[in-house]
Amino acid sequence: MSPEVMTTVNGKPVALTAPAATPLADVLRDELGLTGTHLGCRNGDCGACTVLIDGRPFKSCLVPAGRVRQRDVRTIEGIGEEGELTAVQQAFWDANAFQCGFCLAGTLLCATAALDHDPNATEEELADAQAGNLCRCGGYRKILEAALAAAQTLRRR
Amino acid sequence: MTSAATDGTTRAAPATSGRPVYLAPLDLSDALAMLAEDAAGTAILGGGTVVMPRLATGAERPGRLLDLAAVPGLADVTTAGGTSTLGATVTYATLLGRSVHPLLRQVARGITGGPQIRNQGTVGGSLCHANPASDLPAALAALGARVTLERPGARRTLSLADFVVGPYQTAIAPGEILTAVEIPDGDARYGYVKIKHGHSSWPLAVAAARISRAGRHAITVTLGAAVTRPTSIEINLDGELGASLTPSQAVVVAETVRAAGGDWWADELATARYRRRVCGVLAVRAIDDALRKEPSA
Repeated sequence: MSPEVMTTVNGKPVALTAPAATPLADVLRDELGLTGTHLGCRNGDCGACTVLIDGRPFKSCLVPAGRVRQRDVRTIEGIGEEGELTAVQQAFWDANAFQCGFCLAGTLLCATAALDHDPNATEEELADAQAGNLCRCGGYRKILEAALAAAQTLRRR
Repeated sequence: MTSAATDGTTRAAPATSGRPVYLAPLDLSDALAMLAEDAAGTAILGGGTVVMPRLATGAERPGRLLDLAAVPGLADVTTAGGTSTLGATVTYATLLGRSVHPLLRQVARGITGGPQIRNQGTVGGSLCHANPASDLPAALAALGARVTLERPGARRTLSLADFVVGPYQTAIAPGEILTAVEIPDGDARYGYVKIKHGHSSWPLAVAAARISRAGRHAITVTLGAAVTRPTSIEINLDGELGASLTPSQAVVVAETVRAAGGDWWADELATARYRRRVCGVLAVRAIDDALRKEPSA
């Protein structure tokens, strides 16, 4: 099958063969085996399908694969280096900011994007960065604490 | 964005993969020509926040998906000769920019769905979907916006009031694409207030207040999310306007709004009776918001 969409995922060029109208979340999971991006609602509500496209967060259940032609897509598997947690990942770990982890793609990537955009992001901005993410385990406060702790770490570097 | 019928009727059968054919035109005339080939069988994509869920549930089965994301110019905000033009695929994130009207910045900040949805949802999409429980159409109505609809070789503009004709109903015709929204510059003060059940809820009601600076300080309140279509109500008040409404002025505002006889909207979020009652309060708050704020740009 000839590739429909040429894109970059987690730093590697890929040729996607799924039909271009396929939701990006499904292509990442089914064609590329990147199952860290989760599907909770297919309605744009829960945020568990969040990915970064050109560094900005999007709900990938709403993005047709064709839209990421020649874009840079980063999933939760693609932040940081192999074997080394980013400051945000380390902060989530230290703060026990996730339990089942279903929401993690959303919460972690949104915190990452917010701090990449502005390491001096305020608590209000870091909370707003999470506004599109639902966590059924109720981790909201811990998630924000982790983001704040990561901000501190990044400012110290 | 969807083409004219939003009642979930089945359209042309999808491609053999089970997915619609994906079309991503690189300019507007291509987009219009592609749409014209099969308008009834084509769903138009702004941000995807409405169409993609409908594809997922099977509420809509278009044979083709026409994605406007790659059409240059549609995603821009431009200002020229006393008019600001929002391209149809301008996102809420773009509306947070400095050169955008403060009322629209305020609406964009409050959009449900987080930074992700702000990156994805579009002005054109919100208008074409015309969900009564929406923020943006009311704000655009309050600003006196006009929408531009194009088909190959023809273009027309409509006021918001003429474009949004009912719940989920617009005046867009098959084969047309909403390409831009024009906002005339004006020198008025604006206030805006929105209520919703919780952070991740659609709005229950929004009110945008416009207070003219000239002469008698004419006040117009535009309701959204609580009525079948954005509804503008003129308010006549006695006495001067101070830093906030006086108690007796507030009563007049609330009573005028409740009596305005709009088509109150009922859905799973709230009854019509509740929305009518709450809109009286919101109108007061929106006017106070305008009185309290800095002068508009």
